[in-house]
Amino acid sequence: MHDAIVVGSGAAGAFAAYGLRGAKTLVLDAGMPLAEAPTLDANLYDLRKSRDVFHETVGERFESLHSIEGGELSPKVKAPLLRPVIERPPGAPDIISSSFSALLSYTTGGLANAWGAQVYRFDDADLRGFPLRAADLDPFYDEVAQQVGISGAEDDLARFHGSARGLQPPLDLAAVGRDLLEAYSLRADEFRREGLFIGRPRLAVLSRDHAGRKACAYENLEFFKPRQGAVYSPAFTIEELARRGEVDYAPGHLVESYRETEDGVEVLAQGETFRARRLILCLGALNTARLVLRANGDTESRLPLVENPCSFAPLISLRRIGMPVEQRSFYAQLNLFCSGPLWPEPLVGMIYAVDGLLRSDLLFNFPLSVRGCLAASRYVLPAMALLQLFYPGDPRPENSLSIDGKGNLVLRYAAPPPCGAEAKILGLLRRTGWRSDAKFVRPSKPGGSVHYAGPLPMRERPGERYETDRDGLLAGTKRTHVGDAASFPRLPAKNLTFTIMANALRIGRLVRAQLSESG
Amino acid sequence: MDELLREAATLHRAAFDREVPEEVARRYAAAHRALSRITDAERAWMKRALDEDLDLEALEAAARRDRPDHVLCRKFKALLYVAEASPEYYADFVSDEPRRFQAFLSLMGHGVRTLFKRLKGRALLRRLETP
Ligand SMILES: Cc1cc2nc3c(=O)[nH]c(=O)nc-3n(C[C@H](O)[C@H](O)[C@H](O)COP(=O)(O)OP(=O)(O)OC[C@H]3O[C@@H](n4cnc5c(N)ncnc54)[C@H](O)[C@@H]3O)c2cc1C
Repeated sequence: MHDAIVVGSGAAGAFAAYGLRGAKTLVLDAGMPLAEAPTLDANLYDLRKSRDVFHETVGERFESLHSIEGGELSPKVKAPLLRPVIERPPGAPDIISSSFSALLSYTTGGLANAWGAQVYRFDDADLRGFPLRAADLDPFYDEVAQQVGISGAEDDLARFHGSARGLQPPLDLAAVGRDLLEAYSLRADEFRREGLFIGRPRLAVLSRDHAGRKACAYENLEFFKPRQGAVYSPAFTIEELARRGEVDYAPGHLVESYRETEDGVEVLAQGETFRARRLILCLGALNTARLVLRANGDTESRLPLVENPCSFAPLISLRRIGMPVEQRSFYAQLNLFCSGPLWPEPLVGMIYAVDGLLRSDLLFNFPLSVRGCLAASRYVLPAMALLQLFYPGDPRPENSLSIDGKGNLVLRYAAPPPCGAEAKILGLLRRTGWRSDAKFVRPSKPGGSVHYAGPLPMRERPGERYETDRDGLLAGTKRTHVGDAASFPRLPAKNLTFTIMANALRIGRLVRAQLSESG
Repeated sequence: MDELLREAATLHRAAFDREVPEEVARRYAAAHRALSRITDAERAWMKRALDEDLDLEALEAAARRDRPDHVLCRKFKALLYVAEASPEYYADFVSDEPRRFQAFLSLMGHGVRTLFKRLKGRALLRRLETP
């Protein structure tokens, strides 16, 4: 019998396990492996010039053609070597939904094998609706930052990002980022007055070597190569904990149910039963809620389903048309916050360079014939950036999660309310020379943000069966904790994963302390 | 398969103004495994466009604006994905040197060409719609 079982090895599972160090911990995980990519060993453009990259960029199963028939997959999980991050192993539940395209992961490290690595600390305003204060999370953010390695700067965005303790220097900017930031700096006061703030993102991407991992080499391979050492994956933490003998890691176990007994919990995974004194569920918000409903045999209840609505808009600078492609860059360039006069609750945006994408992903968006599109690929794409804007997400009665009799996930989601800040933001950005128009804004389909939360919300005093207390303990249970964003009652616009990690670490620590108290 | 190879050759000429390499044609044909939504009617439409040796660049330019999900648009996209992976096409997609003047000239030229192609394409689409 173990002291604790953690289910899942994603952002939540890795840090719950990290917090449990010192207790005898088993991490049970679907844990499908990701293939290595030894052939992606140089800069994307050097490779493209010198040899055929069909296998790595398009794929023998033509994975990259997914969008042609209307599929909407982030380019981060579309390419052949990254697609396994979201593939479903035999026995995993189906997703039944016509209105919400959820991405689930069953790999070691979970969805964060493909994440954009943007990290944000939630402040007290962001934690509205949570029974937590920023001060409860701060020491855990610091500890996660130390483990993960975060690069960034103290600039105009410091008021939103908070503490810069232990921050590595920011990554090098590509020409598009430099150009836009310079133009912003020239009129920064004016932008601030209008409520638009631009600066460097905080990224779980190394600008300096750290803990045996190499700094970013600006190879433009983020869309094709899994597990680059510079970009943090929770798999690094799990593998390190297992190597040091601090957890027993058991991949290949699809957990089907659990139940509490007199003196512990029993977890069922494909015919095997595992026992421990405590259980921390970290299967990702949707799968954690599914497992809890399944363990209760409940096909009736409808739990809240929350995500961050988001949208994309292209930006073009006439100054950069005809400039050469940026061969050495990292795609995440600038971070943007809108607050005050622009929008009542802060919105968060990211500006990406597009040099790392396949040209074919973008070029047919130009209103030109196919030969004209090829010319635009050569001359306009180096002058282009993409703005992604995130809105806060709140629970709404029409958005829900339940399971059917076979244990499949049933997701219902009404279209998100119209967002509408884009036109104002694009209007302001024009002053930097970066142009776009509200008619080019493309709202993501529901599910597209891959920021999921809400079904088992944490409350000061949990009442319902499907709520947790502030420490993740599921109401009506004695030993079952929720370690991931299933317990986040709502989402501010800031991306959630750094907070998932800090909160899971907090819960892991707490459970370990309780285990030692009870001997 | 032969029909898809013929398609590859014609689409390739329309996009790149040169003959299609064997490997790209083979991959284009194989890519149809991933294009599962193509219907018999769409196959017949493509066959007729090829048999009548119509201007595919013009047809695509018109279709993409009015019916972006048109089979011809999907097929051009598949061809470009496949081509992009091969080093022979690097210069078709990527510019390594600053070419400001050439860029503006080329884009203006393509703007005019597109207007013309789109008008022609609309007329051809109408013609193909009549049985
Ligand atoms: C393209 C993309 C970009 C993103 N960018 C950002 C970003 O920039 N910033 C940010 O904050 N967030 C980002 N995210 C979101 C972020 O990846 C997720 O919030 C985070 O990874 C969730 O972590 P998790 O541990 O809760 O769940 P997951 O990552 O989903 O991990 C779930 C774990 O549970 C295991 N599991 C699932 N079911 C079972 C089962 N039945 N039995 C056993 N094990 C099971 C899986 O194997 C996996 O290890 C992005 C996501 C994507 C896809």
